Amino acid sequence: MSGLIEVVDVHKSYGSVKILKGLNFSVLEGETFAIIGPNGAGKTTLFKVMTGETTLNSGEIRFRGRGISSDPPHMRTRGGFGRTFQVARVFLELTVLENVVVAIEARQKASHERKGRWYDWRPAEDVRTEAMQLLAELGLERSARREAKFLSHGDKKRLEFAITLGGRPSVLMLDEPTAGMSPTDRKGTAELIRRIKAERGVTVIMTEHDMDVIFGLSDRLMVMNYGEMIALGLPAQVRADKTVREVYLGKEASHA
Amino acid sequence: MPGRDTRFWTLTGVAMLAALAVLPLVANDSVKFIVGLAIIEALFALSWNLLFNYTGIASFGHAAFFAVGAYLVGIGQRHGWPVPFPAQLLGAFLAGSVMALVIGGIALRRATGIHFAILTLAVAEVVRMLISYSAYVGRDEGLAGIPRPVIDFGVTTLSLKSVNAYYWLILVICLVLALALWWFVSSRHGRATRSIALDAERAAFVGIDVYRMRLLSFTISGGVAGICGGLSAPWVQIVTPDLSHWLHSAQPMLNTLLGGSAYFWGPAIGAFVYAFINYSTRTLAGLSELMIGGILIIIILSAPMGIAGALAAAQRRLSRNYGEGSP
Amino acid sequence: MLAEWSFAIFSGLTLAMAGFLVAAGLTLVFGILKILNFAHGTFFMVGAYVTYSLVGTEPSSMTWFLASVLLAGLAVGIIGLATDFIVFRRLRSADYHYTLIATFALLLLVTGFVKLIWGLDFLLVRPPAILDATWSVGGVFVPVYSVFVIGAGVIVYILLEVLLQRSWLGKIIQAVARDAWMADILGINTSAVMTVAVVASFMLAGIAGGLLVPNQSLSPALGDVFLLLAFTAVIIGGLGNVRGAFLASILLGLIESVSTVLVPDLPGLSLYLALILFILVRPQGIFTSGAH
Repeated sequence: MSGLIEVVDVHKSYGSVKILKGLNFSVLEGETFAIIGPNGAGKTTLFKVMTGETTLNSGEIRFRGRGISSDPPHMRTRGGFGRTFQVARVFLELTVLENVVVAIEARQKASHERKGRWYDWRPAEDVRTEAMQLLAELGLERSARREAKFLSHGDKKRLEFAITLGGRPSVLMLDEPTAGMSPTDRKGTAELIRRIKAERGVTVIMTEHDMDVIFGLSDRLMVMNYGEMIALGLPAQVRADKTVREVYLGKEASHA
Repeated sequence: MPGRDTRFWTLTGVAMLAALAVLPLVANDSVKFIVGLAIIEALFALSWNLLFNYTGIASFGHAAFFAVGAYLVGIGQRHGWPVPFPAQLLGAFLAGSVMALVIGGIALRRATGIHFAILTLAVAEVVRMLISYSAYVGRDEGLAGIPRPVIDFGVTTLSLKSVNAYYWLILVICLVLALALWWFVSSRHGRATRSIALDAERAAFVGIDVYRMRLLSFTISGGVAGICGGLSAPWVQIVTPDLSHWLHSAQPMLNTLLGGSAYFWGPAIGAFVYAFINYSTRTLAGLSELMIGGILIIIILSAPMGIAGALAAAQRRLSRNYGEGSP
Repeated sequence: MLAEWSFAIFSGLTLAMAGFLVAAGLTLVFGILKILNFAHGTFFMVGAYVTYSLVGTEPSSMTWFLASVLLAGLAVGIIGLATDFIVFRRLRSADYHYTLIATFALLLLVTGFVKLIWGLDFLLVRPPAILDATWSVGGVFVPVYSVFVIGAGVIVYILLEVLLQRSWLGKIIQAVARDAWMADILGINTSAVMTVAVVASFMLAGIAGGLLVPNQSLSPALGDVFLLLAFTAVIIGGLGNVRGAFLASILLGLIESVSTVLVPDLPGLSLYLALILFILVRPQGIFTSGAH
């Protein structure tokens, strides 16, 4: 069974320190796949390798059967990857609307679906409409003309979602989407992810620390420790796995 | 930005333009000369800011493009090449943009930030050295006595030999190119490059080919700088290797920061203010450097947004106090 | 033939050490403040002019010459203190582009002052009598002054190495250079350390100016070749790396002197080409390892 994304024997070191030690797994199309593990397990590095932020030392990453290990980030985005950052990164000096417009225009350029004229100096009609729709979906339409730097932290996260969705990705890579949020916001974000999945049928890969979010959202779950995979499977299975309990709860508690 | 703001600025701009247009009718030759040069330096600064503010690249060797364009037209005019003047100007644009394409093509892949800045500085110095080494272009003394052109349209000729005529040519061409730059910056290309300037990695993750867009910006900027040089050669009527000296590369940086890099026309404002200060302090050696350096430091420390920024802030405060209240 | 080449190598070493004297302060400031001080050359120039004002065209003795150099260094150091408080401190949190341009503005400001105070004329300072001689070493004529410069460069290098690697102050400086935020948390007064580094760097520039002023025609264009070599050495040696700057200076000094034999009409060309090549091939410098 080959998945949408295959990570094949991936090794990554920073200098002489080995961070990823031969990871092997697949992500199936349409599923929500979560990656968890204690700090220092290598989750962020794995994320960076998968999104193209950094190169791997050996191994391969395949997307729809094609190797993408040497593709730079913008190529992967054009291929259908969307990525959010742990601390939301948006274009601060652009307006909220322009932020999403930029993403849509980049997508249109890559897929040659541009409808505007080349000499336009304002965003084309269809681009603006699509951008406003996305903003409305995320509750940001009233801030459309404000510069992004004036948004609250939570609004910036939602703007980042809008930007990412503007690229019409088939794979959403979310780096700790609920990091630093209050419990209410966390529920809201989880709900948002669920909605996006339901409406667009995207594949979601996320790293997370919040167990409620993980167990509420994910179809399958992979646990990492010290750069290796120690468990992979359905949430309930993983929860009961002895090695996982040892890693998280310590040797004594796991026998409880 | 509220509609009232844009109207205010457009009116101011049109007024300034009108003033510049009628200048030859009221001013003496030396004033015309300074202002004509200022217009060229204004466009030069705009081309630099296209890179700095709108693409996030600091070029410390921009004078190289200017020099290459200037020498091309200078040689063409001085040695009487059978190439019509408009073609020579186009050649200056091409020379600048091809040079930028080659340099940027190699350098933008491998160097960023400070390293790229220093690389451009080094390239400009190499250009200067090569120019001053060549006897064909007069080594260190350069080429003097460059005549102003007469354009032959077949049925009629247009003489640009008079100060007024050439001044108006400068004004028209620089205005057109400035507007072209303004269009670029407002278009989707400009939005893409602006996002690169703000957060290059994020832009990559949005699907923008950062390298390509940077190269595009760099090429356009180099071409415009080349035309600035080409326009200046028959105006100043002499070209020397110092056109590629790093002090000349500093000029657009100065003008941009003086006027404000975050506002499109900031660099142009800075160019005119600088020309004014320079002209007023030309008698005492060292005074102009002192003034410019001092003003620049004061601006960076207290008003990094430059003159345009200070004006905009003042205008906003005024409209808040006397206008219909905040939106 | 041998004489010509050994002379070339010798003058290359002289140039190298002269460049290092300028580069040392430059790389120090970069290592700690992450600022490439474009105005460094002008402060070098101020040191030269102050020395001139103190010793005149004919320095009366070696001792007075050295004393003046130190005084010049001190004067420039004080200017450095003022600069740190007025300019650098305010820009600590600003975008690095602004600091680059601020140092550029400083360059203009100081050049303007120098022109106003000392004028545009070419001035001359002769070396003190003891240095104004030439030794004959195996058939090659070796100016004593060059030996002096080489010696000075080596001494400064050793002093800096000892200070940075073995003293407690050096360890603190290295800590701040590596991770200022962390150093701050650990209770180190990073602001003070940075100020010390700035003052030291300026003093070095002033002293370098004073030491190198004999046998130069003193004008506002002084030291263009030294400056170029210094900047190139700092980049190639790795920004912030004193040892790297030392080794790179030697390398560049030799390259430049060889190219003066081969292509005498284009001084400095080899340096520019070396700089361009290095930035394209290995921008982090030869001597740094890993992340920049």
